[in-house]
Amino acid sequence: MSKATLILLGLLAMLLGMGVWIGLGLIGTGYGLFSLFRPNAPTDKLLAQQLFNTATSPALLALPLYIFMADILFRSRLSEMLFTGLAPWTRWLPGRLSHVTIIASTLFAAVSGSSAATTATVGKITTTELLNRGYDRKLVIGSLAGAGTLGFLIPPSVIMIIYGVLAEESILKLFIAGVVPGILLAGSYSLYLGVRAILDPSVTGPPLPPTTFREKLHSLIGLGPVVLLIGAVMGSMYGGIASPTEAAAVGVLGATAIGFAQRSLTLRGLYEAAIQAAKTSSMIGFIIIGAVFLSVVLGYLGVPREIAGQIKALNLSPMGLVLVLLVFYIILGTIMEGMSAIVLTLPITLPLILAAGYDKIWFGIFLVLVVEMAQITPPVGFNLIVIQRLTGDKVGQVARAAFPFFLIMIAMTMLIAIFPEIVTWLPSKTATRN
Amino acid sequence: METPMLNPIVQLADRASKVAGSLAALCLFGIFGLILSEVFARNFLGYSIRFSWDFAGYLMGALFLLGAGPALREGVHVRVTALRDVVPDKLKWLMDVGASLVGLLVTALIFWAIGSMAWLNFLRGTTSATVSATPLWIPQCVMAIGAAVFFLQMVAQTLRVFSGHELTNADAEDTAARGDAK
Repeated sequence: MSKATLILLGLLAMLLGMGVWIGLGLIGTGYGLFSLFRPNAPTDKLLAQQLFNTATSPALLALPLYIFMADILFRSRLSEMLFTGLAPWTRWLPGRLSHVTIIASTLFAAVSGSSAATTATVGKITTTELLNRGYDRKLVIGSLAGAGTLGFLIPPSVIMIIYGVLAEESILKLFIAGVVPGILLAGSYSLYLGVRAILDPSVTGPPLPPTTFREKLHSLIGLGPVVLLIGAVMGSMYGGIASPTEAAAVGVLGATAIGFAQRSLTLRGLYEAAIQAAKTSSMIGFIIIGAVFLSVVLGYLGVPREIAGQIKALNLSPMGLVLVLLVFYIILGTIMEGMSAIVLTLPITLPLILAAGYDKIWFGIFLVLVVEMAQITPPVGFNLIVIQRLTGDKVGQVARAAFPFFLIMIAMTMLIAIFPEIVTWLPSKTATRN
Repeated sequence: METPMLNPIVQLADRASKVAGSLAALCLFGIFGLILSEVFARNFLGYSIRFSWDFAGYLMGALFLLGAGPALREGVHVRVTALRDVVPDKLKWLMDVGASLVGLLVTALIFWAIGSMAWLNFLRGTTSATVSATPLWIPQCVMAIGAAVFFLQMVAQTLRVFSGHELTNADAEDTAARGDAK
């Protein structure tokens, strides 16, 4: 390994291990490396330019808007409405109301770009409702942890926006590519819940009297706002009226309208949501800025080429490479939050995977799945922490409850590796319209 | 961090962060307003607001920088805490000292880099290459102000660490539970 690569790894491990804020750690590593190897170059000018260009890049504008939308929806009564709207429809299924968590997460994911927001918003109601009705604690918490991660896979998706910007891929195509794997994954979760309930009927609560068709229809009214919002966001995007960023603005408008109509949102609440969203956006923004700056520095120093050359020398088959990356990201995902992990490694892994013959959009979905796994692996997993705050269970317990869903995600990742068409089919059908 | 701090630097940093947070929220409303106007103008009035994307971009730059100080204050910026959670308290404190010193250095670099870029563009009168031809020093100056607040808040964090506190951490309360994890 060259000196630059060794110093890079040492510096990164030291700074991040010590607990330096990730965005700042990436900027510091890049700055240190560049000053060391190019002592005469104006490192501060390079930093200023990369920082300004990235922070003001119109391609990233969807990011703060989707975060804002999620913060507004979190303050609404959307999750109650999802629960009452969906509950009558799942009574007859094996697993009964446990499916509400999955379906509600899937629907909420279609208006939210983040998995922590999906978990927090859906879990707010479903966990209490299901636990009070005597559903198995492990099953309730585990299914929320698993289904909450759908927020990243089902469009809109903050991770896809970031990947799209870094990999220079169409965000709209990535969004479309997430639909089929997202629905498949949600279906697999529901299948698992059904099988568990058949094998051990004690995990579900007591059966409820069947509802009449009238009651079922009436319950749908509660789903109205969510469906309208999905229609506004997705419809404006796929209908060609709005770009993903503009659809995000439409979504913020819709979320605000729902909040005010329900009287759950006040102007004060809206302002607080904006401050919260600004802080979260800034945190993510700095990680992206750090990653862009570091990868520009690494590019100058030829590090990605070198590491890629070494991995190429291992002569892995394409499937072997995917397996190695999967294991690598799962390990990285246990100690790091998933988004930082992919942003950090993308300059090296993307060229490798493209050289192995995989598609850029396919790799984006692969990474989203990997980030989802990282969300529910201890010790650092955002979803675990969200659920811990919600229910008071320890992170370890939540992680154990989520483990079956983690295995389902691995199976799903292997499935898209064997059949890449699951990912690429839908975007190829719609690509011509874009 | 709710306990009143008598240190005037910490007080100043917290007040500045609060103002910066409000300004960042206004930037977010601005982005929302600009993008939404563009959607409506293009679809219903049949024309495109040329400057909306440019200005929204500048507002986002301001949002990222202005939001950084308040985010730091409340522990929103993520850190890798895996190692930190398993070491003895003394070492944890030393790591926090190290992290805040690196943080000071990097935030100072960021402030210096953007500040001097803004100054240079002000002297040269550089404008953006887009239709709006915005003088670049204006957005960059706002970003530099955000970076200054970020640095100031980092100073406050460092002072907190040196007075024996732990660094604010979004999931500080989870660290106890982490012992059980895995």
